[in-house]
Amino acid sequence: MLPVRQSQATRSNQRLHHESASRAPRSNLACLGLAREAMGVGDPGDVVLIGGASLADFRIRVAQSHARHDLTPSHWSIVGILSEQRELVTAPLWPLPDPASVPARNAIDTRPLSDFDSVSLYPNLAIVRFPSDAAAVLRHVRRLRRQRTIVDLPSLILAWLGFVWATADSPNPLLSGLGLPSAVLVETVFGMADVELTPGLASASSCPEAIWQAARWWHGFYARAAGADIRQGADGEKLEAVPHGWWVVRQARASYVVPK
Amino acid sequence: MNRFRLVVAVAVVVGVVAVPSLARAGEPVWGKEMVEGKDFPLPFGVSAVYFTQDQDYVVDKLTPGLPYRFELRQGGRVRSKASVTTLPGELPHVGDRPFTILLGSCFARKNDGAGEVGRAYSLLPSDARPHVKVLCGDQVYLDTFGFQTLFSRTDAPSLTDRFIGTYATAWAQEPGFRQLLADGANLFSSDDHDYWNNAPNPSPTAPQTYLPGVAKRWWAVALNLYEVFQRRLDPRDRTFDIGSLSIHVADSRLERTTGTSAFMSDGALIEIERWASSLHGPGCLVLGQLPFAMPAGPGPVVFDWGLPDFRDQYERLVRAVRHPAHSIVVLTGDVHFGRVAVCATPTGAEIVEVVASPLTLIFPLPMNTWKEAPLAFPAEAIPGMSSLHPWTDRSYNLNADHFTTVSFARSGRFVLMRVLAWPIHTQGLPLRPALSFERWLS
Repeated sequence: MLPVRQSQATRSNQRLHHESASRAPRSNLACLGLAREAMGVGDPGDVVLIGGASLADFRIRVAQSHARHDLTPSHWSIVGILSEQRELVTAPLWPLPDPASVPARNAIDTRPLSDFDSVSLYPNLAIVRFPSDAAAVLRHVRRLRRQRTIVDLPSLILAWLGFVWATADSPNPLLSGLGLPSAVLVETVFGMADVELTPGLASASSCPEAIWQAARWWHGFYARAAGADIRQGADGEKLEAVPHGWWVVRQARASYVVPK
Repeated sequence: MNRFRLVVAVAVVVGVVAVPSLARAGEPVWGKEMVEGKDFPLPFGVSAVYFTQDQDYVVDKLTPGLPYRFELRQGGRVRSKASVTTLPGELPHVGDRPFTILLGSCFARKNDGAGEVGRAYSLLPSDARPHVKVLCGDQVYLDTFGFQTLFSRTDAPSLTDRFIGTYATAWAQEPGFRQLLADGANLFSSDDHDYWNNAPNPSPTAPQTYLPGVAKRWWAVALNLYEVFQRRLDPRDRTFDIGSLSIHVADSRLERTTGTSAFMSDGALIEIERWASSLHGPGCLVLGQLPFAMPAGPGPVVFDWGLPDFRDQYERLVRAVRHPAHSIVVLTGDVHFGRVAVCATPTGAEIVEVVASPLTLIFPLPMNTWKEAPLAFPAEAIPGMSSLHPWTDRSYNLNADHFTTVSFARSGRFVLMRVLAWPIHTQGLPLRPALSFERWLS
């Protein structure tokens, strides 16, 4: 098991709107529009969680079961941040970018949201706004892209590809304190912007599941923090204190599309 | 802890010094309105590279266990930021997030150009982040050996300029050490390099200190800057409790005499004696040097006299802690390695010594080897006192730059202490504890 402390909350975060799979649009881009209508999310700096259905996504979702008290697989396999251009900033394991560009960008890549539109390949989707200064978050993304010494994401990609492909001596990286690169990216830049993204995690094993649990169950933590701390954005606007957003899970039980 | 003192000493540094007791009447209060970010006038002009003035802002009426953020604004512009979390009112239960102290010592800025200490601190997992940091000595090296320390001017203004520059270079490093200082409350205890090696005694590594006049000026300037940047804790603030856990922050350098007659004032030692004899649960004693140590020996020493060299006061210190009603954890640094040693006492309670040093090593020579605690406590027999016998956890053997988190959580009448050593250098990989140690305290 990962050293994850469970929240004491008895009720999940009511500021996360759950859309049923049957009512959700059959397009993730359309879901983003619905999330904006319902909860006002989908702006730069918002966190996007995606649950994929490839065999690689499946293995990542199962790997995160150690972060869940019931040991069931996570709904999520990818996490990223919406950029000013409404693209997803993430540290993907695939598709593999030009190998020569990986060290120069610290493995951070920007992907159009249309890449994740297919609900058969990416059945699960959540958009969450944490109480943060979006401009600061995105500024820190740019800094982390150039500063590999803060967190060396390429080395995490190697460890995770080794696990996904089951190469020799490649145990679940989370159990070795090696977080999923996309989650480490998101947690690190939010941390640099003074926002705690995984208050229950007692190790460096960042993963989408831990971020999801923070949004879903640690709303009391954020509310308590807000009681003492009136947070302001760069323009002086007060920021909403508790994570809020929109989510749909079309594939609750992790499965996979047979590889071609 | 529901009161903090924000120390504004350098243009870009806002340190947060923890002041555990309740606010006292008549002190300035920086209330909620300012926490929310209203501007307030700086008490000094903003023009020089370094300020030589300082100002305290005391913030009180805070709620236990909550995070607070502070911004220093001038003309609407944020010049510096800091944050603190108030202490919990009670020691958390096992299973809840424990009360956590970060312990570190010996920060040599010149060997941390990349800001690795700040980086490591900022990457601490959420659950391991400290409620309070204890920096127990050598937070700056005012005596770095080199041409400038050998041949520089030694009048008071020149020493002041040089030392302020040393503080500013080390403490304003961002990204770097400033991240550690500005995130969470700090409790400081000084050691020799906050002044000079083996201060206040003259040292061959700082030859100018053999000139009595220079030594006197050097001490006065360094002490003044210690008060500006690190702050001497008021006697009323040296002890504070988190439920049944009592913490006492002592300083064995500030009031040290030349020679080996006293490492602290008589009053400060009496405070330790009273504190140790009145514990209602486990105690935590912060010291700048190790109690489980051999004396350096008679005569002038090249490096530093330790607590056992001060025979009379060391005997009183040993007597104060060797019959505790409850276990005492000594948090200390100084020696450039990480170690945990445990000593059973006749009462059944234990003395646990936790050493965390260095944050960044000043110099690799002479070779600094890890050592076990002496097999006896005191290491050299004291007439009329039987020796106790510490044992060292040999698996907790660290000879690298690191800091340590020491967490406490209660279960019934026992307290679970967990010590984790976090390496500073991870080659870009996420931070993982290098070593761990657990002990139930009563």
